[in-house]
Amino acid sequence: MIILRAFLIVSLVIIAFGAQANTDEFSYIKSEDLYRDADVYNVQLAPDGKHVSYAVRKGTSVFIEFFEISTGKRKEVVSFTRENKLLNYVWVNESHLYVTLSARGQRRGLVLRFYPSRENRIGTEWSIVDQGYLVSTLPDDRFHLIYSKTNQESQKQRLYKIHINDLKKRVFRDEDIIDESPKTLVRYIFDSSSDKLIGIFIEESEVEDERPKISMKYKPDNDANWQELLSINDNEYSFLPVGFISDNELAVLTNKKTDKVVLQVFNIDSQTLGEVLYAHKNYDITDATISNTGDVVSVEFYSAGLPVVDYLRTADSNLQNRFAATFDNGSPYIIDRNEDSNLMLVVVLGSVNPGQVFAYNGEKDEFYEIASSNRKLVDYAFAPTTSFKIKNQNDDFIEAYITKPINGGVDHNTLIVNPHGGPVGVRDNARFNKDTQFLVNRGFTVLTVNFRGSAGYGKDFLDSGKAQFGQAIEQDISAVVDHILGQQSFNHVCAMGSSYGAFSSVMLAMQHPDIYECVIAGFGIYDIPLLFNSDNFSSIDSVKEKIVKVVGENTPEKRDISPLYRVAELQAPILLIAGKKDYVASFEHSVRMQYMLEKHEKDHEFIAYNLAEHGHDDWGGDRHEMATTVNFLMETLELNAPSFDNVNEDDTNKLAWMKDYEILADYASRNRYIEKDMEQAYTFNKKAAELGSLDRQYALAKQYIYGDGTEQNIQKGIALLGESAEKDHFNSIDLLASIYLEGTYVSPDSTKAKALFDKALEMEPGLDTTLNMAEYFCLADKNNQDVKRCTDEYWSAHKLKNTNKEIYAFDQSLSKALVKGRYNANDRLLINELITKVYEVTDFDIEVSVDSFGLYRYQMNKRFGRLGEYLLTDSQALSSHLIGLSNGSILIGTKYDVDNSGSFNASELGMAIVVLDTFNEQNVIVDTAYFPRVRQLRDYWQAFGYLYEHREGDTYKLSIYGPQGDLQHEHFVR
Amino acid sequence: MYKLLSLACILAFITGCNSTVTNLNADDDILANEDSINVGYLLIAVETDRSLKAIEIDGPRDIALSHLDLTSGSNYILVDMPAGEYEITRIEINGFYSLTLLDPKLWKVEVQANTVSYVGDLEISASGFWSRSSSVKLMNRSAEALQFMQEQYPNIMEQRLMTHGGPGDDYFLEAAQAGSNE
Repeated sequence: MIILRAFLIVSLVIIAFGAQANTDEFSYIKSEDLYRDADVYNVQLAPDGKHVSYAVRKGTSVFIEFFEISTGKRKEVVSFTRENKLLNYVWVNESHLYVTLSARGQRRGLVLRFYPSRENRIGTEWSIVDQGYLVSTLPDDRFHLIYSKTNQESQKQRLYKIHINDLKKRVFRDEDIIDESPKTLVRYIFDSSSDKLIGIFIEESEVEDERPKISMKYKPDNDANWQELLSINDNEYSFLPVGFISDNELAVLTNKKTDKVVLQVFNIDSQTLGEVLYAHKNYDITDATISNTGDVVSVEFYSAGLPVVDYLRTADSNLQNRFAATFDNGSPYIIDRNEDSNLMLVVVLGSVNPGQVFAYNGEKDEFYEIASSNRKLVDYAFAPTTSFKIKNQNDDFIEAYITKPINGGVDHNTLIVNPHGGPVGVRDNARFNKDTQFLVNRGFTVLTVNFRGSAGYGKDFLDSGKAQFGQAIEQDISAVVDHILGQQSFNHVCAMGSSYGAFSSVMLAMQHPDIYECVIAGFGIYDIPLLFNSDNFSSIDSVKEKIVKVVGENTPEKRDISPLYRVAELQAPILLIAGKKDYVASFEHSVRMQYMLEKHEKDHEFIAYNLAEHGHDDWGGDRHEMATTVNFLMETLELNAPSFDNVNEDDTNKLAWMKDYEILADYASRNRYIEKDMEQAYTFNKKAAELGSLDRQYALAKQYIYGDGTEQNIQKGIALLGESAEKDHFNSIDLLASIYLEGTYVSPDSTKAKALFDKALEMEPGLDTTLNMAEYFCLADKNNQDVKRCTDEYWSAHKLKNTNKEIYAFDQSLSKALVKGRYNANDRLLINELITKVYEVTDFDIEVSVDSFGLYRYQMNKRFGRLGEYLLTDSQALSSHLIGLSNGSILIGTKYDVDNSGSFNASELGMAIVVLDTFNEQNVIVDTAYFPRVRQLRDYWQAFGYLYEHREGDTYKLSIYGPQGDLQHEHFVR
Repeated sequence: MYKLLSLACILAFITGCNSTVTNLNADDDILANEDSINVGYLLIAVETDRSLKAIEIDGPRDIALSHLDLTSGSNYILVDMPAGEYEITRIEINGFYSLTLLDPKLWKVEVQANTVSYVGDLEISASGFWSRSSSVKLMNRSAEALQFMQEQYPNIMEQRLMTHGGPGDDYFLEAAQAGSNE
């Protein structure tokens, strides 16, 4: 028997059709490879037992693909665009899928039929079904489904057992109705293993401020009344039904009568708990599966930070052991199997494996690799996470996880203590974690701790964390840190966390100034009393009650355990990160913290993301935050960034760091994501350019030329542009060509300009390069000017423009040619002809009179929110308006009239061009904007630009030209 | 859920029973010139994505605040008021519709004498142009309000402390201004 078992646990053969590389060689991770959507998701077995289906991202589309197990061939079945986003799909039978998608924000269902077509392809036809939702595909019935649809008149849900063809045609017959919901039913569920219909009900309470009653009811048979399964009116314990084990008994996951969550029998008639079916000594059970016959198939729980599935049937258990012996980079879990269990889907997860999916063919006893969740990560070596336990002051075990840099990788010998958020009812684990892997990859050791209050270790442990903010929770963390520091001596220790983790990180640094050298606190809470007072609804008793359960009563003493009121004690430099749209840990917490750090003159940096909530909703935000974090650590701890001298351009390690600096520079260069800071942008542009980023070299060149964020150095800027233009960087070529053409910063050189414009046109033929050529032929020196060619190019460009952005680009370019070119009478005729063709303007003899010019504020309509008007400010002096510029409340521009002094024809169109030049402190033009306006004569004319980009020392010149390019007015705003 | 309490618009013809106020655009501490010592400043911010006509606040003096009371270039309204307890009672959308704030507990604010009482940021959002329901909340953004006052009204802030005039207890302003005048 022992021999047989030993034989059985021999690892299995993996047949890899895809490229699944696994490497031990260290390389720096590019953040864009790590922080991105999973490539493959929703993997399922097809009912035919021959295929596996999955959703896969390719570019901006998502495909449903089939994988044929016998051949390893993959076939695209159908694709979905961003506008029709795939949410979910399920198999109805061998030839039909029910697909749920989000079509421009609206949830829609469709039935997809597929069939073999010519050349071994798969043909598809789809039918949009009515707005409703699929309740069950009825696995034992190939042609019928259970579908719920709301009746428009009664507003009640009607439940149909409907033939797939009727659903495709949207034929809902009265005779197919199997139930009509009571008004309080919000969702139908069908339990196919017991054939029982279940409903989720929400009944509003008649008592003011009392929560609505949520209950689960079922129908013993179709004609019976709804009977209560259970109601949830108390969240003191967990209670999750898993499945029917007999007609009147459920298996439930609960800790109502136990400390740990156990799998227990629940008698529906008596509403009482019975036999415990499965319990773990140390851990809460997180999931379980019940067979159609009511037997427990498996239970799940986290052990040592990884999910463990305990299969209760011997055959399954043996198989699981064999699977486990097969994979050395993670633990395998069976996620789907066909009826006869010959075919299984197995997912492999672990601290170094973000997820791989395999099919297992029981007949052949072979694995087939289906996909990796993130194909960009397959070539990276990740660091394994180790779990360990120590005892806290309560004699409870505290589980913690440590991840250290791998051999061959950089190691700064620096410990990052990373408490989790929550803090109550949340936990850390030892699975693959993006942030941990990124930090470890950059040379830091990361420690996470499941301190008291964390989920997964029973009710008592969870409750012991309540009202322990800044107290016992931090004692637990510190006990783990002491344990680690007793084993290994680190050069530096910093604390880092988000949400409650931010609170905890600051408190740890305050409590142990001897240990922590820096703090990174994101999306945090820092003022406990503010939790009770973040808005007026926080004072409602039921809301207050929830907060009290976690943090305890709101007393003035809460200040003593709030970092905000103890800022004076903080010695470590801190990076404060926040989301302006954060309503979980309101942005106010971070603004307060920053105010107090400023008041107490503490070393701090503050980054507020304009669009972020309690975290980022786009990967760019995560990438920027992690790059900022690493940069902060490197600078604060005076660590050396790697050197990449004499390394080839394609070196992946260099590219990884270059990308980090690129995103830091990009965010600092504009106000879209964070507050613009051109000095920061200069620092990061320089670093990125040094590592070979041509985009950032171009941006750096502009900073030198305009003296933006650094001292002006035109020569250096032009040299950098020349270098990147040599390397075929399009924007550099384009800008350098314009500089040579206009002679703004160098002596004009039409020949150089032409050569560069030609190169640009060759690289990217299209509207922009056509406009460049048009500008060139109008603005070149006398020897090279060719106005006929110029107007021809503009006419070609006019036919290419389509979007608003393109129309804007065209208008800007033509306006520039009109006002900057020197033309004779014949040239003017050609240009006027063009203007007439493009803008339908026929009157060129017009006069502009200026009503007002200077600085304006937008005055709201007397009804808030309605269209308002631009009012001239009482002073023309910029300095008196510097406050308020940051929010773009000041505009610069003019109101004017256009008139033809001769015969007046009201139906004619006129044209004027307002040019706004921005001069920097050195009186160099750093920006020129054109506002060409075409309107009916004597209509209301105005041109305004927001001063978002205003910097101290900037001045402005407004010039107004007629359609002949004749300067009629010029005003300075200083 | 409670935070996003949705209030149905009530059809109402508004009669002009509340007096209008003078907003303080200039940084002059007018309380220093007042005869009565029982006067303070009320500071409120209005953030809305729908058109509004007025916000009515009742108390020792009933007032109606409109767009005209906004401090230039900001969404703050700073007015001088007799000290005492007030209640934000109604938000007029236009001449026909108003939002009546039904639960007095939630909308009680206080103006303390000789201080700048920040009562909150009134956030009003509608689900659509024709929507008859709006979400109204009084957000506590004391730190931003304090920064605004210190930047825009340095003279007043040299003479006066800012206090919490919104619902509940808040200790931040006291801590932030510890060591300041008065």
